[in-house]
Amino acid sequence: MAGELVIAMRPRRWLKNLFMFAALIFGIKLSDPVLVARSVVAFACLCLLASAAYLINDLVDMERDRLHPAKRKRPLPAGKLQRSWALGGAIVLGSVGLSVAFILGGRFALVCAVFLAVEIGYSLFFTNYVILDVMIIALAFILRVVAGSVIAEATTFSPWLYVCASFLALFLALCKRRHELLVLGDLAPRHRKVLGDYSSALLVQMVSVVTSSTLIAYSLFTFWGAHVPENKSMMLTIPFVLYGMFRYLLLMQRADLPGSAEEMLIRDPPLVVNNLLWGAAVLAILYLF
Amino acid sequence: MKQLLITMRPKQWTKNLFIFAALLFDLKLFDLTYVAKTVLAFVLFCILSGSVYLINDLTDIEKDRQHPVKRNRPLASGKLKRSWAVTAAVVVPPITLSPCFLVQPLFGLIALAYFVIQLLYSFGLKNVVILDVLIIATGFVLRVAAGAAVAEAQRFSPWIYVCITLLALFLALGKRRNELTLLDANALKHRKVLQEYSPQLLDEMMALVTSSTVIAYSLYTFSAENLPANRAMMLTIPFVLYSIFRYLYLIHEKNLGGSPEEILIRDAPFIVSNLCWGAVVVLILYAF
Repeated sequence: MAGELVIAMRPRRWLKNLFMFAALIFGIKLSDPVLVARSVVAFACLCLLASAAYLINDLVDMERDRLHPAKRKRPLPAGKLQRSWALGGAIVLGSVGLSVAFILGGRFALVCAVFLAVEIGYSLFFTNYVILDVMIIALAFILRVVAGSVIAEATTFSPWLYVCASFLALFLALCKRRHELLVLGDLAPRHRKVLGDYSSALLVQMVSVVTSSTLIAYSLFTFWGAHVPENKSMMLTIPFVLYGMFRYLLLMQRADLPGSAEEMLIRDPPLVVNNLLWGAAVLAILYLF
Repeated sequence: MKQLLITMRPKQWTKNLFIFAALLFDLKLFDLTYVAKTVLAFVLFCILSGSVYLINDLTDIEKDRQHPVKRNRPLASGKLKRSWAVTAAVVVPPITLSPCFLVQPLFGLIALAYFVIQLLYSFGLKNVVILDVLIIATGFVLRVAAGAAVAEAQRFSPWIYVCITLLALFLALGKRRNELTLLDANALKHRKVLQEYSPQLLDEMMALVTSSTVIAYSLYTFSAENLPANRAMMLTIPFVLYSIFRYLYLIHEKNLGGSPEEILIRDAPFIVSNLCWGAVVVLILYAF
């Protein structure tokens, strides 16, 4: 039962919470062990809260998920996880997450509470509204970045990074919708109701808006952002971002590849190598120059 | 008289609201002198743009008679006498333009430029691919510039001009796309320029201007001079993004987009988003 509970907590999605470390890394605070330790604890908080939201979502959607070809295998609809366990889990995770957040700081706890509310609000309500659904996902990403910058006590965190993070989140969310539409075809609305409102032509347009916006925002960050070296060497990281987005767009055209859109982020070797190189280049430029 | 007014298309006058942009963004919304001047400028622009429609309908009268909808227009249907319209077209523009110069010489010049460019549009440029949408955008920029001249704006960000141009291009391209998707042979005859556009080309151009709009607006929220230092203006980016996405959605999924003025008064989410944007902008500019 405990194993099923962990599965229902969807640990894979905790990866998204890594956005929290943006402020720490880009605020040149990675060498401060206290802040790093606090950030790691804060990361755990966000993971617990996100998992609590997933459990609540699965509890509410249980009946509907039973009719869904893929979702009916989830622990709750499949009956492998009892309702009482899931409910108890959600309450425990939520309250532990929020209490630890409170110990870390009042402002951080406030951001966490909003984050939890947004995550629950998304799965219960906003997920069915065209456009609003992806924007709420982006909002959750911004809140992760905000949470990180509250914990890292960032004073000069570049606003461009917020813009980048939100456009990137929109990019990922829209790409995911597009990929689902491509893979599932006419069955897509049964999998996700809101897909009935999107067409692939509309998604292509929206994706192109956020792709170019992300690139420009990132480029502007590389020369205007706080803490970037005077010699503009941060501009050297632009090609990685460009390649990463182009590669992702390419993967989104392929209906034959296994796995969901996000899984490609950790599965596709060229993309993974590119992202690691980008990370290494950023760290080297920020900390060694 | 009433038919004359219909020919001047009061519905299209909402476009002239762009005159108020300078007043709003130059923090003069509560300065009564400038408000009065801008309202006067707005009225003058409405009459001026109305007379362009009048001239346009006069020249297109034969073509409009072939069009399923446009043949109900007052001139094409004969409800408005040609002589009336001709008299109005000759008399109204000079009568409107002269007070423009009295309000503010620069405003007068801009109004004159607007009038001439709109006439060029009606008499030929509307049939030249790409130039047609650029001219429409120019019309919007001139409206904003007119407002800036009347309000004697000092701190008006150049980014606003860029945003307005791109936004106007977006609306114009959206309109072309809508006309093209709802196309029948008749429409093609009516708007020759549509033969030059294809849905793919329009989609690419729209993608270009929508992303540029979002970026220009983001840059405005950071780098314009008279904004609060705490970057609170950034909070308005999501509304702009939502409205643009919503508009794209209406164009793609609902085949709307043909008449921006209809969407402006019909689609509830779009209206709410725009109102929220306006409220937040006013709050940030004036309360902080």
